[in-house]
Amino acid sequence: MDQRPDLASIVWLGERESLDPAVVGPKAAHLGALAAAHAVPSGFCVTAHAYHAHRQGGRPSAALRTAMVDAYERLVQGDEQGGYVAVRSSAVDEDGAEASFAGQHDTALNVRGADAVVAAVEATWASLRSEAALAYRRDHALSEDDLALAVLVQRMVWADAAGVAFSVDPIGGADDTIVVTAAWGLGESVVAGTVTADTWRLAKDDLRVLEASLADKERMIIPSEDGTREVNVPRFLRERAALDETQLRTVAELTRELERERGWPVDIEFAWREDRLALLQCRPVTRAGTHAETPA
Amino acid sequence: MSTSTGDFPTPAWFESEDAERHWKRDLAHFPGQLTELDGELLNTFISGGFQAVMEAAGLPFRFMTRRLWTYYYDHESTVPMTDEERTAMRERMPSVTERVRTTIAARWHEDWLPEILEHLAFWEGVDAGALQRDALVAHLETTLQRGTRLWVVHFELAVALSFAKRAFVELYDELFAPESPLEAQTLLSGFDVRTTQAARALWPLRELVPEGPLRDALLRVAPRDALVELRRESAAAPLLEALDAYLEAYGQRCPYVLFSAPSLREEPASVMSMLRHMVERPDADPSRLLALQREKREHAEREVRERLRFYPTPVRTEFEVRLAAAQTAFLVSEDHNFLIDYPSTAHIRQVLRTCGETLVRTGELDQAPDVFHLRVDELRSAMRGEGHELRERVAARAAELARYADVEPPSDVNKPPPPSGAEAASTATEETPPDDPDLLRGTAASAGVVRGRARVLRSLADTGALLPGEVLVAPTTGQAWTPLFATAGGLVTESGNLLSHSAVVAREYALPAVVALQGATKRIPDGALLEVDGAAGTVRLLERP
Repeated sequence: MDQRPDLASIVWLGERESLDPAVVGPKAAHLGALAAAHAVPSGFCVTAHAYHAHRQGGRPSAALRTAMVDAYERLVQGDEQGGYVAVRSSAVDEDGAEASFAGQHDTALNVRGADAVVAAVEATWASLRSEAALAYRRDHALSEDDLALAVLVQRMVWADAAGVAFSVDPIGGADDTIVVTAAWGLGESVVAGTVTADTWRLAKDDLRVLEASLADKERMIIPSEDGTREVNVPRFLRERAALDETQLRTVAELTRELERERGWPVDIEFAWREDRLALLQCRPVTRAGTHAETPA
Repeated sequence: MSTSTGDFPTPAWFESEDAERHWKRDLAHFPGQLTELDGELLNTFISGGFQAVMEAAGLPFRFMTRRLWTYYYDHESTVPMTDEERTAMRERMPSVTERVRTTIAARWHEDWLPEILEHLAFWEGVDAGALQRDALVAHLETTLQRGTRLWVVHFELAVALSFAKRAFVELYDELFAPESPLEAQTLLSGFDVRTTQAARALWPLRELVPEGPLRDALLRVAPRDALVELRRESAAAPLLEALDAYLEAYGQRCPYVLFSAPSLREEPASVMSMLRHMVERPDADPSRLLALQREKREHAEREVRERLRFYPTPVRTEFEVRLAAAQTAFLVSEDHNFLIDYPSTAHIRQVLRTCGETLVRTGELDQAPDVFHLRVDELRSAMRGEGHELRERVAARAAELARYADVEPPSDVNKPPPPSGAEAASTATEETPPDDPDLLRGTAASAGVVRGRARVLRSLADTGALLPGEVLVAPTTGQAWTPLFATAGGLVTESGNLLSHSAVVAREYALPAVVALQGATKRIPDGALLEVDGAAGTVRLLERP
C-alpha cells in the first residue's frame, strides 16, 4: 500500500488540493474552487489517495478513521443543527475527469456522529464496486483499477426548497435563457426527477421571468433522523411557488455569475434554508443536458 | 310525510314546510325538555344568530330550531345556489376561513370580550325586582335585544373557533397521520381557562370544613340538601359566607342553555357535591391537575417541534401559526361558554322570573316559574295588563311537559337529505359493530384506561349519588357538570364529539372519557363494573350488577 505522507487523506473544501479533480474528484473540485467566494456548505474530502492507500479489506484504516473523526468533529463544531452532514461520492477516473457515472454511488444525507460518518464513507467506497456501478462501467469501457473514489463530507443543509438551475437552456439551446427548477424539501427529488418541480425561464440579460410553470408538488424528500424520507407536501403548500421572487432572482443571478466566473455554461444545484442560499453543486453543461468533460 | 306514532302525534308545525324538513335532536346541548318559552327564545337566538353570521360571511348555511313534543330539534339547510354561485363560494371559502381564524385573538380582545362584558355589566347593574312595571317591560325588551345580539357574538366566535381548530387538526393529521385523534388535542389543553378556574376557586373552601360535626354533616347528607343542613351548624358561618361569595362569582351559570333551569346559585347541588369530594380527596387539588396538564402540553409542544425541525420553514411557520390560533380558540371557546352562554342565560332567566313574580303579585299567575310556559308575545301582553287565559295556557303546557317527561322522542323526524357522493362513500364503509355485546363503542375523547362502577346520572339533580372513582355515565355534560369531573374516575356520555365541552374538560382533568356512545345511559346498568378505554373509545362491561 502506498503510504506516501505528502499525499493528504483529508482535504478541506477551499484548500489548494481541493481544486484538483485527481485528488478529490471533479464534483468536489468544482466546489473547492467556489468555496472561497460562494455559499458552499463547509466540508472536507476523503481523497482518492485515501481510497488507494488506506483501504484495508475494503474498510478505512485505523489512522484514516482517526483522521476522519477529527475532521468531522472540527466540521460540526458550533453547528446549531446538531452535527448533521451529507456524505457524497465524488468519483475519479485516471484522467481526473468526472466519471459520468457520478450519482451512481451512494450518497448518505443527514448523517450524524463520527461513527456514522465513517460508516457512510465505507458504504460509499463499497458502492463503487457494487454490481450496478460495475455494469455501468463495463458498458463504458472503464477499468475498475483505473478508478478511485473521493468522498465529500459537508454540513447538511435542511432545505426549505431546493432545485437545479442552468445558465443556458439545456433543451432548447438558447444561450440567453436561464432555467431554474425547484421543489419543496431536499433537492434529491428534483435532481432525480421523481417529483414534479416548478420551472422558470428567465432572460439572462435582465433576469425577467419569461415563463413560469408551477407544479402541484405532492411529495417531497426531507431529512429524517437516519437519512431522508419522502412525505406528502401539506395541501396548503402544494401549489405555492417553491421560490419567491427574490429567491428566484438570487438563484438566477448566481447562475449567471458562475457561468461568467467559470467560463462555461453551468448546471448548479442549490438549496434555500430560511434566507440563506447554499450552492451544493456546480458543473459544466452541454446542450443535450448531459455533463461535459471539465474543460482544462 | 306523516311522523305520527302512537306516542308522538304529528306536531302542529310552525310553518307548512316544516312537515317535510329533516329534524334531528341535539343531545349534546339540549338533552332534556324545553318549556314553551325556552323553545321560542332558543329559536330566536340560535337561528337568528347563526343566520346573521352566515349572511355577514356570505355563506349559504342556515339553521333553524323547533320544539317538538317538548324536546329540542334542529334543521340544517343550505340556501339554494346556482352552479356559478357554488363555484364562487368554494373559491371564496379558503380566504374567508383564513381571515376569520387568523384574527381570533385580536377580535376576542378588541371586539368580542369588551362587548360581552358590557352586556353582562348591564344586567348586573339593574335590579329588575326594584323596577316599576313599565320599566320592567322596557327592561325585558332590552334584555331580549341584548340576548339576540350576544347570540350573534356567540356564533361569530363559534364559527371562528371551529375554523381555527379544524385548520390546526387538519395540518397536524396531514403531517403526522396520528393513530389517535387525541394526539393533536394534547397541544390544546392545559390552559388556565375559566372553567377550571371555577374548580380551583372552590378548593380553598375545604379549609373551612374542619374535622368534626361540620365535616360529618357535609359528607352525610345529599348535596342538594347540604346547604340547608349546614345552616343549622353554628360553625358553618365562615363556610357559608365563602360559599355565598363563590356562588356570586361562579354560580351565575345555568347547567344548560335553558331559561327555565335554575342556575347554580339557585340550586348549588353540584357545587356542594364538588366541595364534598374535595373534602374527601385532599389529593385532587385542581391547581396540581392544571400544572400536570400544562406540563403534558409543553412536553408535547417540544416533541412536535423536534419532529418538525427537518420540515421546510414554510411548514414549520404555518404549523406555529395554526397552533397558536387553535390554542387561542381553545381558551376563547371555554371562556365564551363561561362568559356568554351560561351567564347570559342566567341573566335573561332572572329578568323573565322577575316578570313572573310581577304576574304572581297581580294574580295572573300562580307561581313565578309559570312564566316559562308562556310565549314571548303572551308575556308582553300580560305585562302590559292585556293578558288573558294565562292560567289555562300554563296548565295546558305544563300538562304537555308532564306527558312527554318520561319518553325518549325519536332522534330524527323525516329522512335526512341524501348525502353527497363523498359522504355516501364514508357512510358505506362505516365499521359494523362487533358481535361482543359487552363491548360498547363510542368516540375516543380523553386518553386513559380506568375501571370503576358505573354511576348513571340522567340529570344534575342526581349528583349526590356519584362516589369518588366511579364512572360517570350521563346523556351529556354541560358546563355545570364540570365539578363532577374532579370526583369521577371516568366519563361516558351519549352525545358530544372530540371537541365538545365534555371532551375538552375531561382532558383538562386527565379523566378517561368516551363520548357519543349511543344509548349509554340505557345500555350501561347503574352499578355495573366497567373498563373505560378513553383512547380506544370503548367501554367494556366487566360485570353486571
